[in-house]
Amino acid sequence: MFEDNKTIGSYHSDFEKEKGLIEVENLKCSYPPFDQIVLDDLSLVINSGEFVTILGHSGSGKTTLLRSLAGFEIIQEGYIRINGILASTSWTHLPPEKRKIGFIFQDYALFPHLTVRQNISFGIVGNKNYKKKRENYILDLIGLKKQDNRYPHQLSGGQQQRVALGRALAPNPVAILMDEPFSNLDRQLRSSLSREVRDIIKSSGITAILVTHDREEAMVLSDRVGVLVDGKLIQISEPEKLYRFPASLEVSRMISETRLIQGIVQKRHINTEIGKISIEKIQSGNSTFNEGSSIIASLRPEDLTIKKSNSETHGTIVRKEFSGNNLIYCVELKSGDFLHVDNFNRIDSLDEGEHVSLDFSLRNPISVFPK
Amino acid sequence: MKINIDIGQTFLSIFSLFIIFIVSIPLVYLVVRVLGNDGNVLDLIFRRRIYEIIIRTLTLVFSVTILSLIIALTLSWIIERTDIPWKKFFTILSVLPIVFPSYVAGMIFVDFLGPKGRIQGWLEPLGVDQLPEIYGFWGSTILLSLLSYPYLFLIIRSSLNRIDANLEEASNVLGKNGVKTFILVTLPLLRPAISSGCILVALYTLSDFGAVSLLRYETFTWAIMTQYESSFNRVVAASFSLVLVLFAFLILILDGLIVKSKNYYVSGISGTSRKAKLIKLNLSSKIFSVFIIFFIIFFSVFFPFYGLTYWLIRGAIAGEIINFNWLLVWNSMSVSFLAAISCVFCSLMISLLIVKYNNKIGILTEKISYLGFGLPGIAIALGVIFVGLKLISPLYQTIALLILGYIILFLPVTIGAIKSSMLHINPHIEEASRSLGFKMWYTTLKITIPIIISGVLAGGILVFMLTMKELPATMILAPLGFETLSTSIWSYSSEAFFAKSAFPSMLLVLISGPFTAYLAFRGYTISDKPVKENLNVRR
Repeated sequence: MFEDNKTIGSYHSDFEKEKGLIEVENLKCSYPPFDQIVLDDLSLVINSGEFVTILGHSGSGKTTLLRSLAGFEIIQEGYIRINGILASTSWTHLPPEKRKIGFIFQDYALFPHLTVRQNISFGIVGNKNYKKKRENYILDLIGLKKQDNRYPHQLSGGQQQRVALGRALAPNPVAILMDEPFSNLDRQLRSSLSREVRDIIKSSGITAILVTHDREEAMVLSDRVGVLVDGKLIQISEPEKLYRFPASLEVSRMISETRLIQGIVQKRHINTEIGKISIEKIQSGNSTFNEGSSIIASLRPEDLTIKKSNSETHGTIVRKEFSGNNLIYCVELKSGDFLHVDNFNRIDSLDEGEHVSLDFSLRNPISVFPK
Repeated sequence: MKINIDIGQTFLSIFSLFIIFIVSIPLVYLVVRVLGNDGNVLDLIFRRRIYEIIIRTLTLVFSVTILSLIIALTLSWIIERTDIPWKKFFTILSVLPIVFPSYVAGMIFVDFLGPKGRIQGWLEPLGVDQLPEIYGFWGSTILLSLLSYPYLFLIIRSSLNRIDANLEEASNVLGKNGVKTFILVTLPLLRPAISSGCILVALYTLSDFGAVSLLRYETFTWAIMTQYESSFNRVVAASFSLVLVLFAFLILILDGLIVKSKNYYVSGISGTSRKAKLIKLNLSSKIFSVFIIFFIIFFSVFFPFYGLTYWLIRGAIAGEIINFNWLLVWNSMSVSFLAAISCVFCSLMISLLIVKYNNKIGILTEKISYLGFGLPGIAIALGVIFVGLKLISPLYQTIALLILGYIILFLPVTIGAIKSSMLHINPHIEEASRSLGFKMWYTTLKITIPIIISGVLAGGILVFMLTMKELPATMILAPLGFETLSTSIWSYSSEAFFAKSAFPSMLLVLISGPFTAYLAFRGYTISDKPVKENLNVRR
């Protein structure tokens, strides 16, 4: 069957140029008992050497996407092409062991009966000499040369993570897939180790796909971030573009801390409860709005300021939360909506029950979505 | 208050010491008796013949273990990992051979498959005048494997279910296909389960008496019984028993070594991991898989049941059921009941000492009681007989001595069940009840007993069942003229009165079988630690 697939893919020519190229077209994946659709008409191209993160909540289908790329799941419709070779369609399925892909599991899935060295050696193909060299190279790369004779349960969480990475890289895969690989680590270790992993992968020039629900991780690590909601890939773009031009309210909320406020579209501005937003400060993506239509404006925390007021008030502070480097007030607006407002510099601290007035301090364009 | 606790603990400690004494004295006595004898006894047992018996016994133990392992691995893999239909049905049938005492199965085996047996009779018109020899090594190997593979099956099955599917997928994605993954990942992860299951099977084979003597394959147990029954000098039988004990110890030590050195496996098997996806078989492989299961089950379950039913009907026509001596049932049930009650009582005391006071004597008692688990019934019975003759002669030839033997054999079963159910009691629960204003006795009645009762019942019922089926110790220790279901089946079947033995055999299987199978099943599937905490027969 492998040979067949190879010939199917062969007119895609020039193997080297496409090393690591992953193409997904109209992928549909559902689970048997009720044919519940997990992935719906998903298309995606990942260029060789690219580091792409798929961001989604639990249940969004991100793990299924990764597992169908690896060949663990059978797809119902569409194509998956890896390296120009047709790997999954509704009628053929290249088994995982023939896809030349590295996979890092959320729980690492290190073989408990093998040492660090044996775990890394597991997937390497070649003679003894080559194996030994490759093992040593990988052990150096992940910085666990001294622990090579230990068993997985004798390692810390971070070390286990490195072994998982080393084991996946050792057979020289064309791409590496990571399923929430840092979620079992504590916060501090997570940010340092994830950068380290990114650097290792980048330096090996391997295509990488990471799925996570942690937006910070996604933004920091990736060349591109895709947002997956209910089995649909809503937007995929560079982190900064995604941040500045979210395609929908969902994307906006998923990739950054947002402050939502309702408004009505006027000729030259948008009217909101706490003031007007001039039309120059607005980017609405592809959608156009008629005068008089209701919208939701998605603001960043830094887009709002707060001050004590006795005359013209917008609302009342109902709660205040101290979160380390800033103070967040929960303000009940006159309409009954709630709005969180940050007080970054923490000067003139306000108290619960106080009347306040709010204002915009827009530096970058803000996004507006239909209500 | 403090004094009260001390009195309780002291009493329990003394009781435990007494149990240690009872459990260990037969063994000690065997050793003293054999070593204290003059040299020519040692000469006697170390003559050429004993080497033959050693070799025979060890080859049988080895081959039965291997064959059982092959059967168990095949069945559990097909049932747990492929998408064949009727899985529940096959699982239950695969466990069912546990219900046949080896002497009952052996009897049917001989009667049907013997060279001039019933099947040969059916095949006579086709020109088959003799079936291949079933007596001896091959017959014993096959029969004992068919009877003992369920122990391995249950352990492997539950362990197979708890392997994290990610590990096998990790191997796939690293370029290893299904077969390589099974050898490189699945089998190593199953190794603790396989090794403890093999120990069960090895000990079962080592201590089996019924099957090997019906199939005339001379192993230690048979040699011991012949020596015991034929010669006046029982020291030879005792010496043989001691060698048997030595082998049982060796097997147990081997187990300890394997399991201890492979402790790290535990991390690969967790309760919460994802289950492996079922392998989709095409129609022909599905049919083939189901055929394999049917092939094994045909010999291990259908065949014995058919044989029993056949003889039952033949016997019924001949009036065997009307003439049946119902006293046998009463005898069997009453000694089994006494054995169960005694084991439960002793275990309650010992478990209390361990769990409540964390007392060293209690822990030691539990450890020593495990002797009964590993050691063959025949050896223990001989030890008890010697003690009965020399130290407590008033008890010789009484039911009490028989019960004593049963306690030594089956105490670990109830200790295991009761201790683990007591460990489930969070001490805070009792304290909560006390703080809500209830007295100690009320708390015990309303909280403690309901929590441990299922463990107590399970342990007690299992001892009852095991005692019903027990043969060699019952034969040696029962007072003259005291017959039970098992001894009467044995005496009929060894004289080839199959029709006479069919009714008591069926009774035995119907009374003890289903419960044994159920408890074995439950013990293995629910317990997180399949080896140490299960309620099963030998460990």
